[in-house]
Amino acid sequence: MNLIIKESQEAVIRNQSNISIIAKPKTKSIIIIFEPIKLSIKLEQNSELSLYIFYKNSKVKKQITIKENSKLINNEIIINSNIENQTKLIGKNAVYENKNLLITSKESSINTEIFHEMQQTKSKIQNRCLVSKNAITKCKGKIFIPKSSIECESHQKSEAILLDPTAKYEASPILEIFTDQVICSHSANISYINPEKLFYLNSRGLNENLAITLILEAFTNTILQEIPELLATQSKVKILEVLK
Amino acid sequence: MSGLTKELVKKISKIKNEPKWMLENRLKGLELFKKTKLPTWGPSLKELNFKNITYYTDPNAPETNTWTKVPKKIKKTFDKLGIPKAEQKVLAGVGAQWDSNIIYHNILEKLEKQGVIFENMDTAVKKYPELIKKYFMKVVPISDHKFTMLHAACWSGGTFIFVPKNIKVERPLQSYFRMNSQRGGQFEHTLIILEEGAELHYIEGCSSPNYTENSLHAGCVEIYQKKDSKMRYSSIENWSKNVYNLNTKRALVHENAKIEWVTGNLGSKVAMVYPTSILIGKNATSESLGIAFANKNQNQDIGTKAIHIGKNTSSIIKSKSISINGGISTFRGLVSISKNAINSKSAVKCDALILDKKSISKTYPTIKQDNNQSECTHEATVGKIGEEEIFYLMSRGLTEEQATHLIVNGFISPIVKALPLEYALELNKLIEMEIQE
Repeated sequence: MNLIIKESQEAVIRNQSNISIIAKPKTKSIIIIFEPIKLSIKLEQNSELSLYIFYKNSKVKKQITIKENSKLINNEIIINSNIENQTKLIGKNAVYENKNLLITSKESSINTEIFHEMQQTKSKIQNRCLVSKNAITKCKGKIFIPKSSIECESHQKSEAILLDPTAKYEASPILEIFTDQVICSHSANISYINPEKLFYLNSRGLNENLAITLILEAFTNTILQEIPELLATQSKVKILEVLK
Repeated sequence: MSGLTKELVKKISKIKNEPKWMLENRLKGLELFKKTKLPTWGPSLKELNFKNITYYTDPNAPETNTWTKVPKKIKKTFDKLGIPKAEQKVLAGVGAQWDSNIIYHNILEKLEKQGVIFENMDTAVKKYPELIKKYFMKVVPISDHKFTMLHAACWSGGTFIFVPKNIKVERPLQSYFRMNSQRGGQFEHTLIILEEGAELHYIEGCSSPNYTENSLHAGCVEIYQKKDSKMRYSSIENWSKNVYNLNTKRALVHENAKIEWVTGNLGSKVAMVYPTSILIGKNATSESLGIAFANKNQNQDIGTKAIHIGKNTSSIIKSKSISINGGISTFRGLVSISKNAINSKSAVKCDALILDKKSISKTYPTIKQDNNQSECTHEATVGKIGEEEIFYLMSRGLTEEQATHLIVNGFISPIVKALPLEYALELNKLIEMEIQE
């Protein structure tokens, strides 16, 4: 399916495996996509796209290019999937913001590579992951800033909660920086539901199940709150199915 | 003796009058080395010509325990490096290696009486055969990687330290390794065993003169720490800028024991050094503080590994890197928390400072966690010195160069503070000289 956005619009795409989107200049659109397999997204100059995607049991390849003064907000709910994401910021002031909520109960991975090919480009990635019984989750991220791309800014953040003693998680956030005029950072955190936190909530009258639900809701809501309600409602149902 | 052959390996073993098992070890290393390809990751090692390297150079100076008996030329170099002076002032014992062999070794009488062994590794093989056979290349197996294979085949010199149960060595022991011959190779082996409740601070210094052809340093450090022992391993590696520094350092840390790695990497053309702590016992801890400085034509690929196997183990990794004049500094770290290492904690922090537009910084951390009762955190930043910071210091009367030095000193100070005063001053001075170059 090819979608060329000539005017600002809101759209929902279902049942399409191979999707190509081109956002023409001066457009500002919101697109929701359910379970694609191959995605190609191009933002031309001065465009803005908010892209919300839901994946379940998928193997996905996603390629993004963003031109001058354009911005892509890309929030995703990823359930038991393997995602390859390559983003190229090829125009000055291009911005890429990516937030992913991963829920895994089997082997899953996300591999995000961002190439800052032009100066003054910005990227921000945040991954939050709930890893349940017998799941192995790999979270890779790579930021590449060549010599000519001065005044770039890039931040990566990866957080995971392991829900079961058999859950496994691996993070490798890579930075390759070839110039000095940049601001870059990355952080990763792997933790579990802390018994002290549970005890605190228990002492406030919540039973254990309710306390765990509250902690997990707080963890997932950071991303769920930033996606349209249509997708959020459906995601919550699917997340509960997996976590049960 | 250049070029690595079976005959050479046999000859080294014969010169050293080694037991049969050691020769077998060497031959096994050689066989594996020939079969194994160069690593495909990390900095390029293509310019390293193994046929050109001199694998064994005898300094023609017998080992002694008084500096007056050391040949004048060699003594002069160690005088310049300040080793005899430091021995008088702050150290409990000193070993000095020139090319392939140890030429000086001395330890305080008091420690000797307590049963502390501080010995040239070649001598230790003959003097304590059972002890060496039990530990030699066990935590770093011969087959670990291409350069441990090479090391096993042609190792020479190095240090053996044994600290008996509950003995606390109050002053540091030091070894200094000097690689002086052109196209030289240095393959010293350091083996440290700390019995239950023992404590030790060991300092290692390394340097070499600058020749036009490449040299190779492929040493190996093995540390065995028993229950409740405490070890600090400090090293300042300032090899000349034609040296490939491919050193392997590893510690096996048992229950309640603590290892501290304090490392400064300044010299070398290419450095690939990743001190590793294997936290095998309950409550074992590892702390690693490292500085890497990459100047023109230098590639410093440095990092730390912490392998958590025991319960309640913890690791802290702090790494600082500075790149200038097109130098490449890389942090390559690994934290692995195994399934049984419940209630373990790990925190990794690496900061990189890029001092000009030509320089490069890379960060490759990997964090693996295989249980849900542990916590890992990692954070990294890359940046340059802010113009505002420089402007502020200049408005207080400092020149731009002085302001840069002051900021760099502040950047590395958390790690420098962990070194003894003399070495901290030396490290600060070395970095200042590198920036001025």
